[in-house]
Amino acid sequence: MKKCFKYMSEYWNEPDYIVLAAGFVYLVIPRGNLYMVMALTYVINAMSLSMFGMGRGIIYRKDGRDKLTLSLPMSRETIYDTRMYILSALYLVCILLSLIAYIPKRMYVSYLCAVSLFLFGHMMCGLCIRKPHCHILSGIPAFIVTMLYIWEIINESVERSTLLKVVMGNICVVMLAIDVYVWLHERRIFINGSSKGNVVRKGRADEKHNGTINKKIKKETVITLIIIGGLISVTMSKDFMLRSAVFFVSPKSALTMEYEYYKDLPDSDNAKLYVITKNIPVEKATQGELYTWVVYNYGPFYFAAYYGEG
Amino acid sequence: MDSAITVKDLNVKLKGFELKDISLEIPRGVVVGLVGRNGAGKTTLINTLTDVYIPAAGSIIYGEDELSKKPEKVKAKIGVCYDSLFYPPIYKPEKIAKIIAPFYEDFDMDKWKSYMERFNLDLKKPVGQYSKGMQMKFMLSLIFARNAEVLILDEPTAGLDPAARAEIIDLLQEYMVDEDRTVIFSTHITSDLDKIADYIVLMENGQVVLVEEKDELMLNYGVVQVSKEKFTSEIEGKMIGVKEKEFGYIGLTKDVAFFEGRDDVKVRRAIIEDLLIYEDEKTETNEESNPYI
Repeated sequence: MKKCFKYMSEYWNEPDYIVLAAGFVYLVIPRGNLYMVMALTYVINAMSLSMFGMGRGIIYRKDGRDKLTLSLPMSRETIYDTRMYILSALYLVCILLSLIAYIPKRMYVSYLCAVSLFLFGHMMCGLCIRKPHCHILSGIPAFIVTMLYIWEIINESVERSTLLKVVMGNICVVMLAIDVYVWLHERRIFINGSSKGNVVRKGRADEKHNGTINKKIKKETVITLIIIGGLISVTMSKDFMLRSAVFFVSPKSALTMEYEYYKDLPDSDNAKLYVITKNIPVEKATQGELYTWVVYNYGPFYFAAYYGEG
Repeated sequence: MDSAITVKDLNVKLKGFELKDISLEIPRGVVVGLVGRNGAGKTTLINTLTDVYIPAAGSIIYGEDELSKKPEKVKAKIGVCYDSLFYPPIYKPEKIAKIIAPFYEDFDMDKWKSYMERFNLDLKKPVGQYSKGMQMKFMLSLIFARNAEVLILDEPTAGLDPAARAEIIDLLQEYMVDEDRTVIFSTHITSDLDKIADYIVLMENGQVVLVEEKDELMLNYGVVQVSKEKFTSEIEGKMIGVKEKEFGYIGLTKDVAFFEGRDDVKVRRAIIEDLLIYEDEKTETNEESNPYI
């Protein structure tokens, strides 16, 4: 790790500022656990970028330009991990800066900035990497949540968008897991090689020339759509969605809790209240027990959130 | 003689290609020319020596340090130059030098600037706008600015005009004034090796088939022409990579002394290029069938 920190300054470059700005503004959106998940999503996304070595500083993708990085007097572990530490450091700074966001007046400015920079940052990332499921999928729910907040501002509507944000937060968690898995897998191959031998990846120009790029894009698109479809389908389970919402407060409770139907939510056709009867989640900040939860039903989809004890 | 690089039983697997059981011992203070046809495995070997590819088996030892175990120490003493620019093309040379310099303890910025001046390279232009020859000189300047003991070049003169090639060769000769330095130079332009190489390593189909001192090679190898009538089995046995022509047969021989003075054949001393032209298609590494041994 010491060696990684020694080299970090050499890897810093202009695109890092763009990502830093995008991350900062994106994270300058207030409120709670969901946004911490988003922040973590962004960190892991960035790790995915590093893993494929988006052309920043002097590390490139595995298409021959790795030659420069690998010619430098560093072990493969140092090369790989340095990028991780830089990007993690970038986003830790973003998270710290997001504390500034708890100033209500900044909210409206930050939403608009967040959308534009988010779109820019993710577009760049999506264009550069070769495995969109590592990055774009986790970006899509984040994007949807951001749009929902804008919708909220315009329409002064709170409940539904909040529930959808929870759903998207759940999807982000799954995408985080995929990102981490791919990151670890790629790190292993980069350092130790694979049993299939060295992968010599051709540049996009070569692939375009021999027609493989379209097949690759199609394959990646199909895989992406299958994964999105799979994840959306889990929102069709009331039990899963309720436990997912509880997960953000207490993961242990989410897994072990028991609950029962309480009543239909007044003034709502498709919302029901449930009370947790066993292994009640406890909010760390207030040490209050969160008993009552609302589950909304929209067609085949369910969304859950904490209702309150009032 | 002290070894600069020792390669033992190296096997490298790529998709559709393999380097098989490569063993080499490259002494210090020499220029080694790595030759072979397209697809012979020269670039793969160089990429493995520079840690771009991970070998499936075998070891690469620079001096006393193994590449896989002490990569920092090994890479600090080697300089690599590929056939194309591998620095960010949008950056100016000074920026690249400032990025690279901290990685090497012995990088001398003043020395680098003096080389840039000597090569007449514009510091204000991004390196991507340099011509190929200029890019090559730029890459060499970054290596010469520090005391790399081993210089590995993968077709550095490819695509250069004769004048530019001559300049690069002169630079390498200057580099070799220090007898502790070693150069490994892969190329198709064998005339460059005629001028500078001490050893020739010939590769075919992912294997090393010949490692020989250039002078010994040129002394013992020749190109033989013989008419069809006089092409006996004895003569055939002494020839490699025989090609049938209108006049008869032509091929390489490693025993030029056998043919000298004979009336039934014409023979001339071989040059390095002839090793590639008269390559034996059946060559394998085992000693019984390798005609180069």
